[in-house]
Amino acid sequence: MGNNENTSARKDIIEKSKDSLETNTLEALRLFCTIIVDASKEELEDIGASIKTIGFEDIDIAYQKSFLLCKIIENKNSEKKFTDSCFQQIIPMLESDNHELVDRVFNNIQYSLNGFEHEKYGLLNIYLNNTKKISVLGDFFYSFTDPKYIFDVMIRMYEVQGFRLSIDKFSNTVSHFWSNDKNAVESQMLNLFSHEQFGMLAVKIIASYHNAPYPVDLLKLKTKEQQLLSIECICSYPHSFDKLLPIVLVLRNSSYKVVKEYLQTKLADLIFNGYHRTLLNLVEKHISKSVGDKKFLAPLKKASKDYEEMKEVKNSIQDLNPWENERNLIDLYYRLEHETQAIMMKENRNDKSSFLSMLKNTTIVRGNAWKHEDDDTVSPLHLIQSSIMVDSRAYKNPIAYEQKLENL
Amino acid sequence: MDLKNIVVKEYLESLTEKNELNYIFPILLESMGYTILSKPTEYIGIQEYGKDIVAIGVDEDGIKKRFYFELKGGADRNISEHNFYGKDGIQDSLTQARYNDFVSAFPKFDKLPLKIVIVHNGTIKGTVQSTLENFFVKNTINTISFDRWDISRLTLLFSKNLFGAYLLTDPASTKLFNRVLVNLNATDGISNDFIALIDLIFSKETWKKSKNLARKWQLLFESVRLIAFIIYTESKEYNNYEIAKRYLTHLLLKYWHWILKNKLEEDDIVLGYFNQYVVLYFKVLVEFFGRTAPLALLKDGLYSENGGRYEQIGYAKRSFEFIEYFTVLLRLVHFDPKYINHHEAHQQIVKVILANDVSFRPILDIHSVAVLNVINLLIDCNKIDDAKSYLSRVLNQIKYAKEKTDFLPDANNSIENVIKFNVTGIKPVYYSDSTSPLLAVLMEYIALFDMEEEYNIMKEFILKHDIDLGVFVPHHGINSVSLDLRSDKENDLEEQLFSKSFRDGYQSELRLTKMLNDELDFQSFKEKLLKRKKEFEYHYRTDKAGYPFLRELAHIYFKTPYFPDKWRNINLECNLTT
Repeated sequence: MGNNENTSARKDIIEKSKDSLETNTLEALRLFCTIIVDASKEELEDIGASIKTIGFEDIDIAYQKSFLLCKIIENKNSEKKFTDSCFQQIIPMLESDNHELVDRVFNNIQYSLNGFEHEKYGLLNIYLNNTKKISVLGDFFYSFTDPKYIFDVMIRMYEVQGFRLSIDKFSNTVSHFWSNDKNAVESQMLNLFSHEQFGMLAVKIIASYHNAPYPVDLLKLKTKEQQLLSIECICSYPHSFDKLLPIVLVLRNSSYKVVKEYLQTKLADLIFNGYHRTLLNLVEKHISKSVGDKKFLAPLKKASKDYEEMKEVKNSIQDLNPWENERNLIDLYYRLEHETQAIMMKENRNDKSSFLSMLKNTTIVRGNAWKHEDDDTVSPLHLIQSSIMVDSRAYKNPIAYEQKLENL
Repeated sequence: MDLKNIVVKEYLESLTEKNELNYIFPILLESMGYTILSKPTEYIGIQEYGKDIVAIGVDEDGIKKRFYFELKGGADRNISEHNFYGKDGIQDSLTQARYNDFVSAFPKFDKLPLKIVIVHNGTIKGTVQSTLENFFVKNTINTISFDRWDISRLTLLFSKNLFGAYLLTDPASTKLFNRVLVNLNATDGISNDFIALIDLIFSKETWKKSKNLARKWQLLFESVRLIAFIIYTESKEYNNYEIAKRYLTHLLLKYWHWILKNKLEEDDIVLGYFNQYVVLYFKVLVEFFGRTAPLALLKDGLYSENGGRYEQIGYAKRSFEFIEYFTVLLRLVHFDPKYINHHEAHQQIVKVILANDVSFRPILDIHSVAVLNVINLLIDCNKIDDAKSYLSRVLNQIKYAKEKTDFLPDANNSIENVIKFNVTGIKPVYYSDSTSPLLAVLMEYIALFDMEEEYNIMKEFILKHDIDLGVFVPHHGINSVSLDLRSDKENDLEEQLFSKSFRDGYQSELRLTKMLNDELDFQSFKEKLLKRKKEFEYHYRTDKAGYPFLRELAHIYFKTPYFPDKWRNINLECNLTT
């Protein structure tokens, strides 16, 4: 068929649909959808105007209408002013008291509308205000190209929930953005260090990558205040500091003297109060043997030595040693901890989504190896363990520690 | 097998420091009926060769004599050429003792025959032995004789006169005592064997008033001191004075309970013996804090580097227990009228608290005892602002923990419950946090300090979380209207306080509302407390006898919350009079 024929056919469909819009709304909306991809500016505006007064009390109609509006918006022939009016038609549907209807409409916005990230983000807020279903945040941004919106969500949630905010639901999407445009994501992350109250959020996000933190370059932080804040926050982060260490260590090469000194002070403090010799070893592993780095290391070595001396002084008497005077309580604590972990493992085995459920569970009651019936080889039992470095200050005084984190 | 002799010999051999023998030997002499005129401690800085102890007693031959005892303990306990010859050697000491008289006002002291005895809890080398015996023979005249008491002799004397006379009189108590020593570091608290042994000793005889103190009672008191000293020396062996502290506290409170029970708190002779025990207890406490306080002053000094994750409970528990006893000692040392030093007391407690910031985070309701001890000490040091600041921070921590983790200190005072809650996230059935005596007391302190802002914050918090406030009040007060409700009518308030966790009272509700649901304003709250001032008043026999700190120790040891007179009698000029 030629262009003229197409145009004529579309016109027929538009007219036919308009005629049946009152009597058979759903069918009419579906018919509109069939020609929307090739519709001209005028046709689009005609359709938009004709469906404006259509009610959306019926869930299917609301779904179809919102789908049609998404497609009209997506059409390259739609002008800005017109698309804005289409978005205005979607808003009342998202504000409906019928949450099932709202969910269907939102589904279209999430999966059937490409681009228009700013407007979609606005609609997301309307949806959340109405339904409070924050679970949609998990993959809502997956189709976005600009990471600024997901960062905006995290900032706003962090403002309310503080350090206890879990960003697990965003981690896949952030990772997705990272693989698409590292620079944009890095820029968002670093930008958080411009605001004192979001420094810890930045670290949370940086640390949320799968196996290692996002390799952001803190030297890209321009001001000394930003660099100092990044040190403060990373050094206060309660776990996985071993993984964050390489990121923060680059600041020893900062052009600001005060930043270098602050990094030394904070690491020395962490060595003395939190991680002790383990951290010193890690720092040594990550820096060079240059004169500058040796100089950088000196106060850290001193902190480690001071800690060992302090420990020795403490160990010189048994009066305050819990292994001597609180033995029953220590045993109780670790026995319960062991049991709790065992229960969690058991639950994980039953949980089909866990990798542990795929393993056949056999208990080796004696011995340090096992032999499979179908195989002649004897396999040693390897110690399977995972560990994360935890700042010991977190269990020295958990309440005060958390208060401090929240106040950062 | 004579278990008694083995236990005694092993114990005597274990005294490896000179001052340990110096302490225990006079106890033996007193139990043997000697009158001691001077002890080693009285000669600090003065050279009195061969006269570590001067005593009067009846010798084996039935003749009353004056005795000079030269004690050789510690490194010198085994006699050899090394410590026999030369200046300050044993031979030199004996010669000095022989020719330098001791001056005493004891009737006819100079006329009594003299016996010089070398006492050592070890053995003598064969070659030196004959030299020494030759020396004895050559220097013995009618009025002067010599003797040597070694480990074998001491074992016999201690077994017969002291251990055997009262302490280890039967196989049951001997076994108990042996088990106490063997298991001294095997339990966290006090072993049941020790409790049974002490109960056995104090209940063996019934007190009867007599003109002179019967020998059996002297032996009882000496035995108690001996037990304490043995535990103290054994604790030293374990390099763990905490053992001595807890065992001796138990014994101290049992001792005082026995005195109260027998109405002997005004008996000077009995108190004389009790004082000897108190001196030993005080010495142990001073030594314990002498070792631990420098550590506690370090940042997180009371935190154990080896405790691991348990320290999220252990550190706080240890810190509060440390503060409980430390405040008692600071009072004893720095509030003694002779050596008064409020500044030092204030500095010490503030430094410990600031170095160990878990001191602001009670995890058991009974930690109220430590919190009150700190606040009252600061008040008595005239540091009201510091007291208010400490109170504010404690309240802040309690509030924050409840809001963030639903944790309120366990009113059942079970540290095990706190551990279970902490590890599993599930509150055990017996975990009690719907009522808080701790918060009730702290609210009364808020009124005392006139802290209206804190009152309003805490009131909102308490009402929001529906926490009941209740202060424990004994039935026994002077103005009591509930005397009939006493469940233990045989023992008065103090006899109960010094023997168990005191429960013979009622929980006095403290509401922060009026007319059912209207919130109570600060002024009305203060007025309500003013009316309660006389709810509990009591005249303590313990205070009258001059030992008010014993009551504090009893509250600490038996985990009894303080009674309202502990804070309602505090009078600050700026409050409660409005």
